[in-house]
Amino acid sequence: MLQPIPYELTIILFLPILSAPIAYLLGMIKGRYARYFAILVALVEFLLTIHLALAFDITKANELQFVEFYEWVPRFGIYYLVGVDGLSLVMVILTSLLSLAAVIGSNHIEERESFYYFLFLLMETSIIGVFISFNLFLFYIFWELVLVPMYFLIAIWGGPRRKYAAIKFFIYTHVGGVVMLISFFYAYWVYYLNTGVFTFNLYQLIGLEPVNGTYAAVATFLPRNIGLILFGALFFGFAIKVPVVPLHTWLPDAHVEAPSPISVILAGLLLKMGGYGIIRIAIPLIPFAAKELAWPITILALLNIFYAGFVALWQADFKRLVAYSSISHMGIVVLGSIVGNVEALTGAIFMMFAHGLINGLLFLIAGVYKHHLHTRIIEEIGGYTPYIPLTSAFLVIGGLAGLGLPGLAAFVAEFLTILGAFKTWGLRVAIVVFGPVLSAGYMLWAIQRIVFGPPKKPHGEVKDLCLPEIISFTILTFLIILLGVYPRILTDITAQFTQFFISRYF
Amino acid sequence: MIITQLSIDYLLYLFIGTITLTLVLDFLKEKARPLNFVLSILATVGGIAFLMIGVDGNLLVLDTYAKVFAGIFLFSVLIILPALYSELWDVTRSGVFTGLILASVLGTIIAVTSRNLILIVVGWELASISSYALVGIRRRDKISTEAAMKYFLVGAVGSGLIFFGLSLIFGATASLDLLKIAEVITSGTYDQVLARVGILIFSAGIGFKLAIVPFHVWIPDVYEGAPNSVTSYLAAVSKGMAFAVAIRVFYQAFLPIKEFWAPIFAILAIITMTYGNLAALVQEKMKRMLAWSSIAHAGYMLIALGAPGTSPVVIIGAIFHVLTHAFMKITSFVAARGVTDITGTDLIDDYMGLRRIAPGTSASLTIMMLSLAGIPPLAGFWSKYYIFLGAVENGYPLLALIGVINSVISLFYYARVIKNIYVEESPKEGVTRGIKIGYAAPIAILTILVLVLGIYPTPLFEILEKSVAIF
Repeated sequence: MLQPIPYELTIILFLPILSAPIAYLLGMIKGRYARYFAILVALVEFLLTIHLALAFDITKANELQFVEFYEWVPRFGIYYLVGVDGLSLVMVILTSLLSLAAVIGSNHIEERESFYYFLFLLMETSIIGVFISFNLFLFYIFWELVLVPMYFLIAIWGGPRRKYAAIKFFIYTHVGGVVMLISFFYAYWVYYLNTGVFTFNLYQLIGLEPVNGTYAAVATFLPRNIGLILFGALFFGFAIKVPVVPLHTWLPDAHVEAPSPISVILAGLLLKMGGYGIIRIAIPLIPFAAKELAWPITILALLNIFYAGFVALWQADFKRLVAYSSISHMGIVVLGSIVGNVEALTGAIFMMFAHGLINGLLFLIAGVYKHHLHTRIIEEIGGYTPYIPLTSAFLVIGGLAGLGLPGLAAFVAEFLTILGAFKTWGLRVAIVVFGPVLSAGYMLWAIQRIVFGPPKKPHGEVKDLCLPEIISFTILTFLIILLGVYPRILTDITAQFTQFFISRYF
Repeated sequence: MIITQLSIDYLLYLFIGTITLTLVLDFLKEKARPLNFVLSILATVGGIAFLMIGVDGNLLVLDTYAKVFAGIFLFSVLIILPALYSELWDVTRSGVFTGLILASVLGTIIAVTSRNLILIVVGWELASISSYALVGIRRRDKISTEAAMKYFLVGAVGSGLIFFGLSLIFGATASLDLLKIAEVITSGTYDQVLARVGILIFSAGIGFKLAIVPFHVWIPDVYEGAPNSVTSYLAAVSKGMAFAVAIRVFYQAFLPIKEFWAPIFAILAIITMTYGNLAALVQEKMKRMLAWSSIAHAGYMLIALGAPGTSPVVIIGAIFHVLTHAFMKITSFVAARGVTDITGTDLIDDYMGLRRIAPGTSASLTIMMLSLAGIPPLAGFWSKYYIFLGAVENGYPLLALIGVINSVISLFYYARVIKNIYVEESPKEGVTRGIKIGYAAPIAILTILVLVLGIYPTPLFEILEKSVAIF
């Protein structure tokens, strides 16, 4: 185990945002310089998180480590409180990893590069901030801060309908954020009325840390119906981000219109913010409501898996298909986080990580099609395999991983989640095993049409992957296989956390 | 004789002296502008210094509450002065507008530093009459003169209502001093009906200046017609004075009958912010949009009067909001002026592609729009947040909830400006052109302040906490 660097989390948190203006200024000299600098920053950030993981004490993964605590607005219980436990650590690693892959894969961005990388680095800080903040107020600030760069990234560098998609994304998530904030306020207020202390510190609100020597949890102060409403509001706020099915309509637009590297961030990280919020905040804050609403939410999760799966079947646009497969996979995350046993929760966290890698890869491939073949319509991109063998190879691996082939990452997650769901609900959720079948349906069909279709002759020159793409694709593929073969890398980090979580809240 | 204690009364002499001097200089010398500029800056800086070391005078009371507001006003004027000189450099003689703005800010200081109703009215009138003339300073511009006329008529009605209301209150309580009025009201030996009618009429008069909704109709026209630096003065200082007076009068004199006026203000606050925000959504011109947003922000501030209670946080938040609103609106109006110099119009659609022409102004405007919308962690977020939190602490969660919903609505019209600047492409070709230094300097200073206050608001909050200890 390595020694932690002093202020390690703060450095990880603020390195990108402080580098952002430098990247902008470098980009003013020459656009490419911003790119090289951003890659360097993302790489340093990635190495720092790897160091963080190595210095992390796995045997105490249920406790906050690397905690940093400073007063910010103490009168209102607002503190700068950051730390990582098993769950946060996994998400932070995913963030720095996908950011690195996405920033390397941004080689097709040629317009206004300095501004692009400025926003990109700003976004990386805000996402990491979401995953390591343990003061709800700080959490909210980072949560909202993500929206600003993301809006611009979609609206400036996106596809033809980018402005519509960007504003739709913004409205949806902002409404979710405000509902969430109001719920936070309510919890904070109830806590104050009963203890006389203003605090937004999550661990105090859920009774893991004492206030004036006594442990008090918000949930114990709430009558049943108020608790249900509060949980519902929190779940609503997070469900928009996940997205859970009736609230998902922003996602296909945003994912399809966003430039590919940004789709990677959207699918890989922004959706995870929703799943993370449910596990980190909604359930611990009001566990009794989570237990009571477990069955309705399970049904919503099943709806997610199947509705999005069926819609994915008839998508003509490859990127849209991947976007719907994202929604379908996120159903697994919601299912795993709510059924309340260790297997399912581990599966949900595993799925968050695996889905980030797999869909990141698939979105990057969709970007390659768009850029090299100038279309993403499945029928039109089919038949060029002889000219783009590498892309096709990665597509097959990514697609197979996406449908949950054993030996690849998503399988572990689906298996664990379904196992856990059976443990809790028995045969009532038998239908869930058809979820992977459905994803096999749309994914294999798409692969068949794209890779194995009758060969066509291209009109112009068709290029295969270039070096930056090969690098980022290889990193992702390697990890997909590694996690599929040896899932313990991840489950060991989360083991303590999941056990503690289940024993305490379910 | 050595003056050991600087009474605040000397501030009057400082300002009247400067005003006379600038006018005389202007008469004697055609090219006195730079000198007048320096003199006016010195006068405001001197005024701020006075606030720091001054003590109560014979007339004026310099408590922390007064210090905070007078400080906000003087600082705002200090920031506005470069923009005012840039904008009106060739329009008229410098002594005129320098004298007017100094006289006006002197009026606001008198209004906030007195506990006597007569003095409050005197300060109020001095501030108002000078600002009528300021609005119409471009005499040959028809829109400007029309705005001045409209402002004058409405302002006169407002002042009349204030006079009338106060005379009724005087009739009911037989006292002009706020603290004595409070004693009389607490003892209960006064004409209840007369006093209540007086309070209502007084509130209506204040409502004109504060831009509360049924009395707001003049705002968009006047804000649009006035020169931008004058508009920013109206939004920052004039409105701040109305608010300072309202808070002092209601909290110091009428607190014992808060059951009577608090619900009225609560309802007015809801109407004002909702109406202001909805109307701002459909505006095509930048200045009109900012004017309506100013009305909406008056609604947020009004929560302080609509939710009185044991916790002072709501008043602190509202005072904080007067400050941040002043900063944000001064920046926005001055930046809008700079943009108008470049594009020739004031349409929000002409902000398209502004980033290429004026990158610095674009960045500042973006930060201000986000701050006005209440995006954390910027100064505008904290002040709004304190208001809402204070309302909740005093037991008015509904008021806070409506405020939050309004905040969400407001984001859309602010975001439209940002979208035009950064996302849309300009139909015209443009080369990078800076804006005048007189506009750029205030924008830069205030942008930095908004960022700094956003990241670390605690020290300011502690100062404000002291200022409301008098209630």
